[in-house]
Amino acid sequence: MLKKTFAILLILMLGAAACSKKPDGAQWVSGFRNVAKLATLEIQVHKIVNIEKQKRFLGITTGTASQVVSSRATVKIGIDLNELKPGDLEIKKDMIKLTLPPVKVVDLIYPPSQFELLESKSGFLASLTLAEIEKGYQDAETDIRMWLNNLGLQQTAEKRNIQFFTNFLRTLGYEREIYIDFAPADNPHMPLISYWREK
Amino acid sequence: MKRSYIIVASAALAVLILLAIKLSGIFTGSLFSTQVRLERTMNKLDSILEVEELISTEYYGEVFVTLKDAYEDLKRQLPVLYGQLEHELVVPALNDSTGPALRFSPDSCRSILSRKYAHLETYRTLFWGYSRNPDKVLGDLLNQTQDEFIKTKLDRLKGIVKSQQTSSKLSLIARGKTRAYFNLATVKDSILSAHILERDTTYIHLGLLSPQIVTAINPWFIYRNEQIKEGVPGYQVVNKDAGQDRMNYRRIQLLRVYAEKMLQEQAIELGLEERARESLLSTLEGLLNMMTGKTVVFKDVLEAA
Repeated sequence: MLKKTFAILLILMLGAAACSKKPDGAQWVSGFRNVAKLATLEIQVHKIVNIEKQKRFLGITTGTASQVVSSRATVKIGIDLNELKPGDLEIKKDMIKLTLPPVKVVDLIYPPSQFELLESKSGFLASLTLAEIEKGYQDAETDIRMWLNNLGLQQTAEKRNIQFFTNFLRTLGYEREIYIDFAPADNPHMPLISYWREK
Repeated sequence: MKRSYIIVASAALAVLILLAIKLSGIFTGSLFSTQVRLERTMNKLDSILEVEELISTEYYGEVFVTLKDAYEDLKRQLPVLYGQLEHELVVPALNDSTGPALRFSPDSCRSILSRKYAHLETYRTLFWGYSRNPDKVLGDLLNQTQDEFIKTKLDRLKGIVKSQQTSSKLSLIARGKTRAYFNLATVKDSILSAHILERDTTYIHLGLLSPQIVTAINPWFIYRNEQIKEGVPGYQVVNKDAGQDRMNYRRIQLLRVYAEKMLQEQAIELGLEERARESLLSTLEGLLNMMTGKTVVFKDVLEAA
């Protein structure tokens, strides 16, 4: 009887342990992806990243460690040509109407390998670990991505695309009036932010 | 019997006390605490450039890198790096009619290194002496022949690399993206003969185009946001011991640079450039077919031959 109870308990415990296991991170696929991202605007962003760690005892700071680096991000803004559909081009007698996909960040390059160390210090019983530094860099990248939406670059990027496609259509020999419009962004509050999407 | 009751009661009391301590957070929250945060700093827009680039292929990959391998790679590169340095600094200095001393001010030395060798700056181990003490470099340059200069520095640095290598066990899993893109102005320039009409199809021949290749491992490989709750980090520490878990900026930067190099080599070996060309042609065809309503086929020179 005791053995049976013990076995049941063991199974329940194992089951509970299996259920409480956190799910793996987002699934991703390694390999090539053919894309058609047209970048018409490139911006350079500079950010000082200051990561600070404080050790406290009874609310009193006993040691502080910090790392300050100078970082740069290259952001490319444009459109995804794969989102163009045949119906997006309308040719009439005296005019052409083209509806382009929404402008967005098509590439963001923010490699810590290019960061430049400005200052680094450790305090009493306080020093930053590599994992904490990585977390700080991740937060810095998130901050830049969020900030991009408030720059008012959407209009500038749209103008650049209008310029590009007007020239392109004129090169193809179109003499008619050209009207270029943009499809609405997926998220109007964050129009430029780039999302990962599995296709 | 009475004794066993006491034991059970004591155990229950101990469990209750431990539970109370855990719930109150005395030893975890209020007594000792650690806070790590990113201080708020400004994001500064440095420049806005007008470009016309078509990113045609992206390679998402993962590499496992160890500091030991990174140092081995650095050791292999030393002669090449020194060849570049010699070409940039030593040869012009010796051939300068105004004399080497005038050309090699500490500021100019530092400036050349940071401007011309931005990518090498990350190899701080290699250039530590230069960036820290350009006067010493100047002295060495003037007092030694080119060969002596190169040899002395090379030997010393090989020693540094060896000593660092033996004491390091740090390893990382790095995930990032290598992208291949084309400057559309170059594509326009390389159109050899347009409008070769064959029945209803127009063939356009292109010169052999080489894509620009950029590899970057960002802090986020898959960016965590409202849609993707579980992001995937670009770097993940695999093997660390107490000493190496602490920040050692130079070592970690060396490893990051090495990881990006490995990822790019992996992408190129798997055929990134060919895929990028194919993808470019397919995009251009699709775009022109849609815009003109006619059948347009792009062919590069290799395919045409």
